[in-house]
Amino acid sequence: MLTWRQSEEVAIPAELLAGTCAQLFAFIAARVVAFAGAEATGALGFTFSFACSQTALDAGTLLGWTKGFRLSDGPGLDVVALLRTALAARGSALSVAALVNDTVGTLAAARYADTRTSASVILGTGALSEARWVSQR
Amino acid sequence: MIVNTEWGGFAGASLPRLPADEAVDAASANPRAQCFEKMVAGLYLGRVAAALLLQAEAEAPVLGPAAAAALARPDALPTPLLSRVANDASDDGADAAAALAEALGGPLSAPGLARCQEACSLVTRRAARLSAAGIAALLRHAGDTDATVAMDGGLFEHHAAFAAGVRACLAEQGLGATLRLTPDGSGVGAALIAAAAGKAV
Repeated sequence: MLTWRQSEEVAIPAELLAGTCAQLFAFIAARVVAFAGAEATGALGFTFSFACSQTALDAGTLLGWTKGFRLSDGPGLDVVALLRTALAARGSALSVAALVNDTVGTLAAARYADTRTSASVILGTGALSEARWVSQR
Repeated sequence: MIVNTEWGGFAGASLPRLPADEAVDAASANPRAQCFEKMVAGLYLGRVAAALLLQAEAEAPVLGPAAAAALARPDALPTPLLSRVANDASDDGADAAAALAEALGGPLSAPGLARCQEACSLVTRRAARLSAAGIAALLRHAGDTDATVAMDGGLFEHHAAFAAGVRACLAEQGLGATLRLTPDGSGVGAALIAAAAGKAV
């Protein structure tokens, strides 16, 4: 049962949309650590709203940037590995346990509340990717 | 099994394109890709409306050169503004007029305001109906036309005329699907899946 929930929305600075993956993921990791705390441990689910070739629950390579993102690298890179590297660089003990496409995440969340849910659709405004941290409580 | 359709990349003869769509595509970060997305995603709706208005202005000016110059700038009509204009159903359109005056650097004439409102409403309506078409196709293909569909995304959550348009179009198509807003569903879902993965290990 979902007993506790806290969230924060962070906009990705425009200059990071045209930089490198290392810069983008360093920013994401920094904001995740700022939110969860430097001492936080536990499983982290990564919602990544771009088409990936997903080979495992916790592994997927980016196929291409859309929605105005135009980083100099990315396609062909494992985005979980990128996030893990960035989190480790900040000394975080958070563990990326799952890579989830945003529609799959929405489907899971909705089915958790109502098992009649059989489809999910995202009709969004722009381009934010986010990481959500699950506390071990 | 879960199928992720990535329908943003849909293109083809059944998806008619306007000169405004060509203009938005050419100016985008990924030309010739994500054709459907560029007609329904919030990121692009304001750009399509601006392109329509510029085209109309060239043929029959009502906005004036200053407003036209403002419209020609990148992201002159951000989606929250388009939403505000399209959702103003009042007789005098005062809120729409205020929003546009701020964006275009000065008050509009009555015909100018009317044209902007129409462009914003048309773009909203097209995006809503195209989105509904996608949902209808999905449900019909799955043989599940009375499905409960989880919805997320700022456009659906905050743009009332858009969400109403999607629902109305589905009803018009005779589909009994329930669209349930699941705010921040993608984030919560990722956390749930991560938690489940942790337990499985």
